[in-house]
Amino acid sequence: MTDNDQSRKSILRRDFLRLSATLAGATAAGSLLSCAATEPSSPAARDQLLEQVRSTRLNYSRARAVPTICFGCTTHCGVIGWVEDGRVKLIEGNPLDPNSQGTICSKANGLISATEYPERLLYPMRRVGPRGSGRWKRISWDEALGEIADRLRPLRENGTPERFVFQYGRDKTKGFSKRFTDAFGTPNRLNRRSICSSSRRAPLMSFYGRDFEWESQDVENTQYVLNFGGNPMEAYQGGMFMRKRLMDAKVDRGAKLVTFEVRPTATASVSDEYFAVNPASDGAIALAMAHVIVREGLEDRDFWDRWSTWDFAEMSAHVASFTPEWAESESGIPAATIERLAKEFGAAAPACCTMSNRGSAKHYNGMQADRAIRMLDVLVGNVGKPGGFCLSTLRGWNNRYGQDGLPVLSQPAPKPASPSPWKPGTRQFETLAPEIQERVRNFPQMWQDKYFGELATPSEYPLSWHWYSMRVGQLVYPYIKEGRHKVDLYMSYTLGAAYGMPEANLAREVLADESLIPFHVAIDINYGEQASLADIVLPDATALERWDAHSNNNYGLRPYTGIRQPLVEPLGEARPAQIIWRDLARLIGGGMEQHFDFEDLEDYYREWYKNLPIDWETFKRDGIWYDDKRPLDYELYDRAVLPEHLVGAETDPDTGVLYQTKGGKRKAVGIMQDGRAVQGFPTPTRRIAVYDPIFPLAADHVGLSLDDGNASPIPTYHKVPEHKNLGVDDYILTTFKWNVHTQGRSAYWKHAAEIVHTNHAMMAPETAVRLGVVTGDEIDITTYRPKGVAYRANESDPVGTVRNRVRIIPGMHPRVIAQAHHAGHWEHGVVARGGDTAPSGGSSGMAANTPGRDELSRQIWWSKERGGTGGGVAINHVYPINAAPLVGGQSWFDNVCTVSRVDAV
Amino acid sequence: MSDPTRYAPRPAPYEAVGKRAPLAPDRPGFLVDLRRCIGCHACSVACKTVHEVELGSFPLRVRWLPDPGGDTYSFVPVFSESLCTDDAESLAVGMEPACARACPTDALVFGDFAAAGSLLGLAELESDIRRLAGPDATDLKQEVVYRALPEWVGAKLNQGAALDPKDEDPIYEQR
Repeated sequence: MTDNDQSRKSILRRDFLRLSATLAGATAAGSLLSCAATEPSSPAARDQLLEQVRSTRLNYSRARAVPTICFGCTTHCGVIGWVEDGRVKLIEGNPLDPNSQGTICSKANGLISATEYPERLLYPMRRVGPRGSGRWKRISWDEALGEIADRLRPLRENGTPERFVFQYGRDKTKGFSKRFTDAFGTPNRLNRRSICSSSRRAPLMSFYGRDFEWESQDVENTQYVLNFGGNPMEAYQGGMFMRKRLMDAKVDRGAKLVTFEVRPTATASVSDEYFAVNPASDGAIALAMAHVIVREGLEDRDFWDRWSTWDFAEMSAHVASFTPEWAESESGIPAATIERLAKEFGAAAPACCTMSNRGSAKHYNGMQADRAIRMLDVLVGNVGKPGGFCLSTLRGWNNRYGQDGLPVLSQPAPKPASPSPWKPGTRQFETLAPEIQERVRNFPQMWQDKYFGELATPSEYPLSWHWYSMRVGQLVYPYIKEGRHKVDLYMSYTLGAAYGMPEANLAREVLADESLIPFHVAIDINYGEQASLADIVLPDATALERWDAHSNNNYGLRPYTGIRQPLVEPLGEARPAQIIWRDLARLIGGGMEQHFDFEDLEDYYREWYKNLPIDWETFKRDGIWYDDKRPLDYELYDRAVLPEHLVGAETDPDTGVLYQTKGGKRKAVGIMQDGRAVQGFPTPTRRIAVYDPIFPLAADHVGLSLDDGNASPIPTYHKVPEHKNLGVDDYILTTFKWNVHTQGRSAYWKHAAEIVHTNHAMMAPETAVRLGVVTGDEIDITTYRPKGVAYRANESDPVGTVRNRVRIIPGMHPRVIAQAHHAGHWEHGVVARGGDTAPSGGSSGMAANTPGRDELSRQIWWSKERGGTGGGVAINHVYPINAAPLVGGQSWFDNVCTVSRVDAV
Repeated sequence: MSDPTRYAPRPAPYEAVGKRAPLAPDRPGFLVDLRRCIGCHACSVACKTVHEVELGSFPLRVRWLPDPGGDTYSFVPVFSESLCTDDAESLAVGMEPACARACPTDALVFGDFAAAGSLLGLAELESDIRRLAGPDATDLKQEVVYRALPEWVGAKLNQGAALDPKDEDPIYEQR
């Protein structure tokens, strides 16, 4: 331990003790907890509290203000941390960030709760009892990394590197972990994108190309937003970037926001109109709106003909059958309303845009729903226009589409080569089951060149890896259980699968089974349910203690980059993940180490950013860089093809597409429009693929009937199979995120938990009447398997039953039961467990700050001990694994369930 | 018409410290513009973090109040008359209080009602402004005025006791 570590630890400890003393005194004087959440009950209590508040304040003149990048959710806003006495005391927005515009949400300050959490992981630990028993001993880094390296090295030396399986939940190292897995030689760098956003990314990439897995609506200048199930005011990747822009547009310029949802979210509440729609009917509404726009002649015919891959007459004929009256029967929204909204949207064009997210996309029919929604933008020609549906590049700066003229930023050399695909004839190919070999043999060449086995590139879901590797994370554990892939060492990184995956009990069953997972290393900042099922646990540095490169699509429509930098030293013996992987690579050796030839992470990131036109110290001081003279990303498609792309380029006389051949590879680089060579969109046709043959092609290769809506090359609507014949007692069980939480990773942040610490079963008043329940009553919710093409589809046994309490919420759709998915932890320490201090696996052997934990525990006014609700109910085991065809996105919101009242004893 | 000062770039905090005059308004106050509030709790959590307020006490609390007879919610930041201090440390270095700095939508703005042309001064002239409590009525050092406050919310706020979180907030769990 360094001196720095030591002094920092003692500072923290001193603060905890001082706080304890103050509070103990206050309580003795009479009153702090008794008046919790309201006013202090006596002047003495108030004075005591004020004294305590004043004595611990931040002194801005003494403190350092250091910019960094928030990690409170996936939005990643530029922030500034105030650092005093070795602690971060406040986080606020960095006004230089052109995307967040200096705004934050409540989660930014959650990083402080996480960093100072008394039960945080501080030392490497090795289990001493059976896996999952919660018995641990502290070990040294040398011992921990030595054992892991000794287990990994033979896999590499014996030519079976794929038996090392790495899976992450939240990896924002911009490819550093891939550097490790590539250098090792395993293609199995898995994630959980399928339970998040793959089914809303695929439609976008189909339309606009691989470079646009996320859009950047110009809400700052819009007049009209049609929002299908997005909740940017609470939880939405990029939502933070839209909040101020959208509210300003609404309040200052009268822009209109219309929201389709199943429950009254914050976004629904600030909308001009909110409609509670039948679940999974968004696509029907969008197609009916297209019908109205075409019927009324509100389309931008020139834009459509110029840029769409689909013939206008064919499209018109297709949408003719999707009438508003038909959509009313599907969605419950009156035909006249659909018609009115479609006309309003068309009239506002091009300063109008659609918005969608999980609400529309996480269904069996969600991919086509999002394609239908996206088609509305193409139809009215708002794409790339001020106030319209804009695109701004998202990924690292490597001269990709829309990044012309920017400095190239990239990981320092030498980067390792990626593993080779598992082509017929390779050793790995021979490990596949015969039916999988057969499927892969029949794949077109473009897919054979990208196939890396069933975990990384599941052959039944080719569109999960056609554009890029989105994986199908919820099927990893079932596949391991079925023996589709043999694992020797499994490393999970910031992953909460044991708590948060659908059918989380299956994840736990596989993680606990040493015959399936012989060795499990968990790297995380806190001891969660996933770590509890590991053999070795390694403590990661928090976002306030680490470096990362950052770039994101900018809703301000100008590429920018930022740097996450440490504000404080890692607490205890925690280490940044990059250092963990570097040291492991050196111990494994065999050439791996050459890719990790750096001593100091700052040197590594300085090299990464060496092409920036500002010096490193200025970049660190500002935290953000962008070229403020650069034109905004409007109508990128209409810009001239770059001169270097015209060298030797040839035009296809039939399509107008310009091709350049480089190194034997022929690539579309632009398209001729009105005699000009313009860039078009980064799709194979350089147009918007509203008609995309990739869907029937994929369906054909996996045996999916072409009658299934997922196989359609054109946007269409197909009802979720299990929703077709709902019984009168059937409901749809959904799940959602609160604005103060971030998936299963924030329940231990004290201020977030204080605001939301439970997850009651929410239902509409009329639903409660039907069920004969009132708020506070207990119910059992039983879920059933899907009926489409899906994992264990049509099995009649229930998936599971969860007991929860009712909360009546006016404005909910009467067919929907909704439970937030953050609560009900049994690990992650005393705050996440709602004050439950009963011995749990996590407590023993932890390097916990015991006084800090006891003090925090004493403040948890919502604990059951104090008559509160406690920390909620674990619910994720009752949501069936339900990967939609082709893309594999989890259909989180399709679950048919029954509800029964638990009669009082 | 929107206030042009809203779009003036905010100085980076690290530039402000030591370089800007302390904020010493003649009539300090908060303008809470409910047309802009999204109920996100950023203000409340920033306040509790920087002042290290223990759990259970809220100098500033964001309420989600169900619209009567409606399907959605109104969001209302409510100051505690007793626990809100004036965040003198921020004012001393020329910055707004931490809660206002944390607001992502400019729903919570600190300023000087007396300053000519200021956002607060201009807002005071609007017809939809309501003052719930002034320096004489409470211990708050600042005035707090609400813009676009629904009648029914105003009635609740003026009743004080009706804001007891136990039964008023249907979404966020309360003790």
